[in-house]
Amino acid sequence: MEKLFIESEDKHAVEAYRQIVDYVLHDLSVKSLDAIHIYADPVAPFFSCRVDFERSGNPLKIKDLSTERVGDEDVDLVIGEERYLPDMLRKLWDVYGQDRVEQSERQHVIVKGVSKDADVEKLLNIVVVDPLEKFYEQLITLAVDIIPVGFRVRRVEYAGDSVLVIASEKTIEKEWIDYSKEKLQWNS
Amino acid sequence: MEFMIYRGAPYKYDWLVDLVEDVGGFIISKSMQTTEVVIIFAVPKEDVQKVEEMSGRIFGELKSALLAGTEIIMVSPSYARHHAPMPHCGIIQNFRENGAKVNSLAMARGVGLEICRMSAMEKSLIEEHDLAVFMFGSFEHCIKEYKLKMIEDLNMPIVVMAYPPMEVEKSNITYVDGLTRILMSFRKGDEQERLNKVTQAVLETVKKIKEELKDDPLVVPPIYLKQEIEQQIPAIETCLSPAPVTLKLDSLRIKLPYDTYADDIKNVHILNNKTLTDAAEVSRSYTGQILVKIQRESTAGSFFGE
Repeated sequence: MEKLFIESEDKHAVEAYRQIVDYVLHDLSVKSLDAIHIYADPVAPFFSCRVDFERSGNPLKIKDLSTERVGDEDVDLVIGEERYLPDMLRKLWDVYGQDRVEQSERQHVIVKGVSKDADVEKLLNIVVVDPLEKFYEQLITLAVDIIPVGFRVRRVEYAGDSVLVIASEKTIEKEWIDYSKEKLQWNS
Repeated sequence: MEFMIYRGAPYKYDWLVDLVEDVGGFIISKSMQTTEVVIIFAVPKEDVQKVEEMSGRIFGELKSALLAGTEIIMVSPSYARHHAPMPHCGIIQNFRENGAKVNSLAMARGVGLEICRMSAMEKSLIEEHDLAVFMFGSFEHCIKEYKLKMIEDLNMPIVVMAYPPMEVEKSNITYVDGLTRILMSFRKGDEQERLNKVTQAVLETVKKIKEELKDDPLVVPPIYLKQEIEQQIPAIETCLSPAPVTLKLDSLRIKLPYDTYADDIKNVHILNNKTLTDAAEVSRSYTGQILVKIQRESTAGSFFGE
């Protein structure tokens, strides 16, 4: 069970948010959560939420998703996991340009102009899918479900295994940011 | 009269309808779906046992409908995941199971502190109902300084639910603490208890309105006018909305266009050679439907002689 820390001058709100977070976690069933810290100031008003998680799942690289056949002038990647093929192609287009990447058959992607060892190594280590990004998105959805609906102005910061969201209905003041970071022990 | 709600299969439900009419009762609403029929009706108290026996014979369920004959509006600050479908729809379902006709409203700008507003349109829509139920949040400062001020112009009975315990000075507002935008589906014990507190507050408010109505009674009961309208206006049968003639505590809502049918409604014959306009005021609702507000004996005199 995650650790949940809620602080506010309004004691009843603390009780209420304990239950709100409980039900939201149950509803969204987010895995690998470590702790949630919340600070709410109803008068300013702002609401800060820090979510810590356990890092799990490594980034998937080209070498994890395919087998390479190095030729004289290009590399033929035989696709093992089709699920990530669209992401893989997009990444290769970004790095090499569309004219150098060809999908001649369903299971083959040819990257032209790559033959030296160093270049091949670089190609195989390109990160295709980073589960961390998807995870960050899940956490932000979680934070948005907890934060009051009217607090649409949101400031999000990431640091390693944590996400910090400071929300308000007004423009966020610098002193709120500093105060929240101090209260929630945020090391950026 | 005892108000009851029957739930059963469509097969042989008409036996119950016939029995209700035979004992001098009224059918308030009948809702037919493919596998279930829900009937809200009123029968004289001495005939309740006959109805219970009939319900047993046709394998249906019978329950007291304490909120039958009321039109309630449930208002939430938004339709975001925070409020809908849980707990907003769960609360509405609870009122419906008690026989009320419930409408749902999510405000356009109901969220936030300084940014929250009730528009004139929302105010008109809400005031057409017998009772409004509002759901607010968890922060005392927000509810006291902003939300309660947002609803202070509403001139009608209101039940407000939110989390923190609080005293509310306005006499038309009943405040219930302990229930707020928590995603409850009201199946577990503690959740049911909190919902029951809200239902109890609604029941007490309705009771107060009914007592006030006893002091200065309506010239005719709404259910009588409903029957006459349904018999004399064939267009009611073409209306596809649920409860085309909706009962309220001191009025009726008829879901037909005001411009086309208002005159027909005004000319409906009622007892003692009178027409409907002698007993009630007919007006246009915000959405173009017809509202029939029944007069009190202090204004129109008694229709039943001294």
